[in-house]
Amino acid sequence: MPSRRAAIIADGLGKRYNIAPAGDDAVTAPPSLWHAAIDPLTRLLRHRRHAEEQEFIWALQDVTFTLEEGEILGILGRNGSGKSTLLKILSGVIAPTEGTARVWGRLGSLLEVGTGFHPDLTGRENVFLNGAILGIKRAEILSLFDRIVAFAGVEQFIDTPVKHYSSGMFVRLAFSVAMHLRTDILILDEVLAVGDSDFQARSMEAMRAVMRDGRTVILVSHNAEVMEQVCSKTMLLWGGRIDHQGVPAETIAHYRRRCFQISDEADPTQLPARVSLVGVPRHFSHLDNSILTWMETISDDGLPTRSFGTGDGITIRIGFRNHDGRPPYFSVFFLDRMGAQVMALYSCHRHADFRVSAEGVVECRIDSLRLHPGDYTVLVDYGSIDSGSLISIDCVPNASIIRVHGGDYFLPIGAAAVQGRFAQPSAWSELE
Amino acid sequence: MNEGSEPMGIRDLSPMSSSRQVQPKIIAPGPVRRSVWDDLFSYRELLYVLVWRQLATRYRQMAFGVVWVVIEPLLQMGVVTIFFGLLFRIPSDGIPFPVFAFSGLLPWVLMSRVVNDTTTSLRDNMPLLSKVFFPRILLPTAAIARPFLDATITFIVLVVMAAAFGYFPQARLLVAPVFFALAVLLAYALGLTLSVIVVRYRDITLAISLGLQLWLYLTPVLYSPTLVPGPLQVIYQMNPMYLVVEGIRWSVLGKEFNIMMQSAIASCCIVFVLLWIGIITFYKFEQNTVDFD
Repeated sequence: MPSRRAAIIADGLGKRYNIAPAGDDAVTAPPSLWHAAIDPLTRLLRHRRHAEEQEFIWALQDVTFTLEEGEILGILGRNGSGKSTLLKILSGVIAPTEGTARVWGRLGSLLEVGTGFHPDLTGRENVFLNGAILGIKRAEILSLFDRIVAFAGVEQFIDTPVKHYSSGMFVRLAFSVAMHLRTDILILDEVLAVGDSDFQARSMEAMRAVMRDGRTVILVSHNAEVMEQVCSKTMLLWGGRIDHQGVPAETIAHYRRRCFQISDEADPTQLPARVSLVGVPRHFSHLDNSILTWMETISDDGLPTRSFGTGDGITIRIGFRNHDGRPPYFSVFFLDRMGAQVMALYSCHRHADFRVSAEGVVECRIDSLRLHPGDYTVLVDYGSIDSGSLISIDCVPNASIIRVHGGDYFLPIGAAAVQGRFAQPSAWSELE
Repeated sequence: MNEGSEPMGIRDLSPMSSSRQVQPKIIAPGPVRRSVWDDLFSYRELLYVLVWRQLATRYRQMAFGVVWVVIEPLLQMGVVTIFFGLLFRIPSDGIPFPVFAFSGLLPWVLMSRVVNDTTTSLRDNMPLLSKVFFPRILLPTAAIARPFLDATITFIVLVVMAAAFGYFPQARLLVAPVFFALAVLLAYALGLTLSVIVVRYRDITLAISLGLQLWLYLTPVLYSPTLVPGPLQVIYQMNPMYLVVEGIRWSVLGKEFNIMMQSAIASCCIVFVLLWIGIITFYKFEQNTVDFD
């Protein structure tokens, strides 16, 4: 067997971001010349060493790995663990603060679908524009054009400006262009679960095909099953550092252990149950999302809390504003500590015609919380319903964290072990 | 023999497929040393597409399209003619004030639009920059296209208007593109520098429009340069826009080209020094652009 050659060698990559010292409002305020002018002054006034300690954070540190040609590297890690920073460094979008990487061959990255799409241009024009931005040659796009359009299923509208597209059509077309990107090394972020379930299945199949055709791929995903199926090696990033490198099964097991040991975070039940969602990071940062304003979790007693027992009732209230009158939906997701969606509640599941006023509060109630003990991240999403499909408009991925304890739903026998994802009481008896 | 597979994999770098380069791309801290020509040439296909995006969106958004491009400077000309020409009776070197003003406004508008568009090119394309890699100099470069095409259309109107006032096209009209090029280079040079500053300090756009306003009054766009006292002329004429504005009037209207040789040389030097500074600054700071997003 011929020895394989390196595709990427990363050596001690690190990225440091400067942040304003705690208590300074400059974090949220846009930088201005005024700040630049008074900056040296304020620095002088502060104790120098003390100030320097708090003025930067390492988003990524000491990342060293070798990726050989044809390998598929999966990167695991929770939000903010440095995954996107690493991908941005490798694709050349940002420069590292320290360390080096050597990359052999053409590298293409899909960190987002629809990058550079212009609403006033037609679908056809955007295919060429987006292709050129991703680094596909014009001749190549010409030869792939029919396949791209057919895959997206927008043949009839290809000469319509994309601003008239439904957001589903838009995303399908964007994804389709991206999927036809052919480079030696491909970086895929978790852009991939888009569109309706039929399109998702086709996208997944297309992705698998990309990975099978022998190219070097770096894949970022929360989906452990996909990782295990397609990756030849995996890496776990934790707090900006490589926590584990190895074969998928080992890394995933390590990730699970990491995620379920609650050590690095404060007890969520100590935090206020009502949280403001204004200025909190959103899922689609390019949208002007200022709809969801706050959320709150409330117990059966009517008291705000973040602590619930399995089988307890839970009420979630969500404050919103600027609703534009299109048929809306609200949803609340519960994610386990690995980021897997355990439960999803949608307003449209049981209320076909759910209408709200321009500003107000919606309440979602479940009689019995069927979650096993553990901490769950709460995601809140608002969007509109457009001819049967849901279009997310304002999505807060980390709105809150709740803790579920065993309560008295089950008898305490065997309660310590992980018991699957769903708590369901069952009646047992011996047949006569 | 006990060959470790990993070191072998690293050492064996012989090219096999044609698409694979033998030399790796190095990613390291600090600015990347690259050449402008190389960036613009090897990514020319993307440059064309970006230029085309500029033009296509410009002429599609507007119901009037081309008409609007022409109407705007004509309206502007009408206003300044009423105020400066009729009310204040500003001397215009014996040329009818409308043509005089129009021939000055045209290169001025071109220059200031190129400055504005190139300056904001990085900031406005931040979503693109933070997701995909390509030489960032393509963005300010492509931003020249729209004001340049507008100016070209307006130039045709100027030539027709000049003829209507009795200034018929002569051979020297062919020199006009040189002055346009000078104005574009000057604006591009300033825009390159400003584009990397504006992503750090957003409020600098205010300073830019103030600066442009001031500069307009230091250039003989709306008044005759003879109003400036003699001893100051040598410095006054070092303004590259003096050369451009008076050059256009010379080539289109046949006005006497009144410029001192040393000032003309100085203003050309200024343009090229600014361009050099612009390119150096751009490459030094573009790398950190996304960090400020």
